[in-house]
Amino acid sequence: MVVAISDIRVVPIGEDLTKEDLSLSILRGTEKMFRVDKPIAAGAQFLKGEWAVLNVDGKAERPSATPVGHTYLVFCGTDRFDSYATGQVTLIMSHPVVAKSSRYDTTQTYAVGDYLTVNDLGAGQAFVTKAGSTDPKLARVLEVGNGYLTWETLGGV
Amino acid sequence: MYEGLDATTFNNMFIEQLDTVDGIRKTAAGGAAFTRAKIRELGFGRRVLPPQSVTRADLQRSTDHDTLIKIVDIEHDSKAMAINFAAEADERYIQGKRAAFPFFKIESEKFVKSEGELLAYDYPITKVIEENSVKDIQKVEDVKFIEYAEAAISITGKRLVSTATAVDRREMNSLFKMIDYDQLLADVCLMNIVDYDDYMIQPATEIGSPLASEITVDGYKYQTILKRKLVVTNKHDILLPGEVWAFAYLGHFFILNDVKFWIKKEADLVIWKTWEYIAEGFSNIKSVAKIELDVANPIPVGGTI
Repeated sequence: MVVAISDIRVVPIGEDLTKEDLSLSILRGTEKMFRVDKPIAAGAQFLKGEWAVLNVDGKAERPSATPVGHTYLVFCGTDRFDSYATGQVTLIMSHPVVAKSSRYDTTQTYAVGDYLTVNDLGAGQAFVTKAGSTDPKLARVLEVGNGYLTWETLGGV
Repeated sequence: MYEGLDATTFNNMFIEQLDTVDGIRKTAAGGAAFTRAKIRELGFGRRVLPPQSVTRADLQRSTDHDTLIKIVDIEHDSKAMAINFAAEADERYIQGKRAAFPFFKIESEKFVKSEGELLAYDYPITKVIEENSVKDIQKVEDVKFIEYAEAAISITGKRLVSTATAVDRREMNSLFKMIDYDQLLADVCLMNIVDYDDYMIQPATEIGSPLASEITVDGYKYQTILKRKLVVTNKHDILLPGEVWAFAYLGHFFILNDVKFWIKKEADLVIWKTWEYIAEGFSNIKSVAKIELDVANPIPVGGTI
């Protein structure tokens, strides 16, 4: 994970800017989902499409090795100027959405209907991964795409 | 202004002009006008990406240092879908992408000449300006242009290696298809004059008897090739023979204000230099492609054929 305010898209450009950004697309529910800003726990950083956990102070921190229900999808990461200004990160809370994202645990094999959870995947990743039987279920796979997953959020049940 | 004068008279007038403040201003203005015309004519990067003049108001500053960039928007993706009457399409929360074009300075050497020695020249001083500062500036522009084009194809992989030893329609067709396949349109073809020479010796069985006959007499005199604008350069130290490029107009070449020409006379020394601030590059890296021919030694250097 690299989160910093820096303009990396400087000529000579090192990426294909015409390629669709698959890091996070909300396909259903944008209008009604709760876009809530939460203060960022000390030192925490997030990218769009990652997930954040609320700590005891109600601040957003990165997931630990143990999945918990109060884990929320990051809608706008801390790499933005507004996040630097407010010290907050925008999370999607309390409403089911259908989302498509390239930010998931690619070491797993998925099928439609699989439940997803979030924990610290190592290497700083905080993406959805396949849920174990006792893990909180944060989402359910709707489509396994080429380089992305589409899922519906379940609210950590 | 200087037409009709012999070179010695011109150089005399040039030196005399520099003895007054107004003369320096006029001479600098005259030099600047001359420089601009030649750069536009000679830089091949400018013929591929037409230069856009910008002012300070069009640019953004860095928070970390005293340099300028021009931010260019990238068109965002969109699509439609076939759905049932009662359904609704996917949503798209639009998030734009932009690319930054950093400005840099290209400057000629600072030329110094004593007024006495200047009088010894049998050709106008503008020739010196043309042959030194103008050439150097345009060359750096083109060096950076090819450098950025190489950077683009290193990411997209739009580089074909051909076993052909000379460019022909087949090779160029393959080149253009690399761009056209991405739903773009190859607009410009850039090649070295050595490859252009090769193109002109294609047999009548390849290009048709009328064109072959015409080329044999007059050379290939058209501005386009396979409907693409043709740009030919003799700068083999920048664009190697055997390397033929195709471009779509999806990059930018910005010039901040204009080329600047500075000149002054200090005692008996005349000093002048030229510089400009530009930014160039490709914001859509798919708009660049290259084919490399199997041209081991394309330039005859003597011996037998």
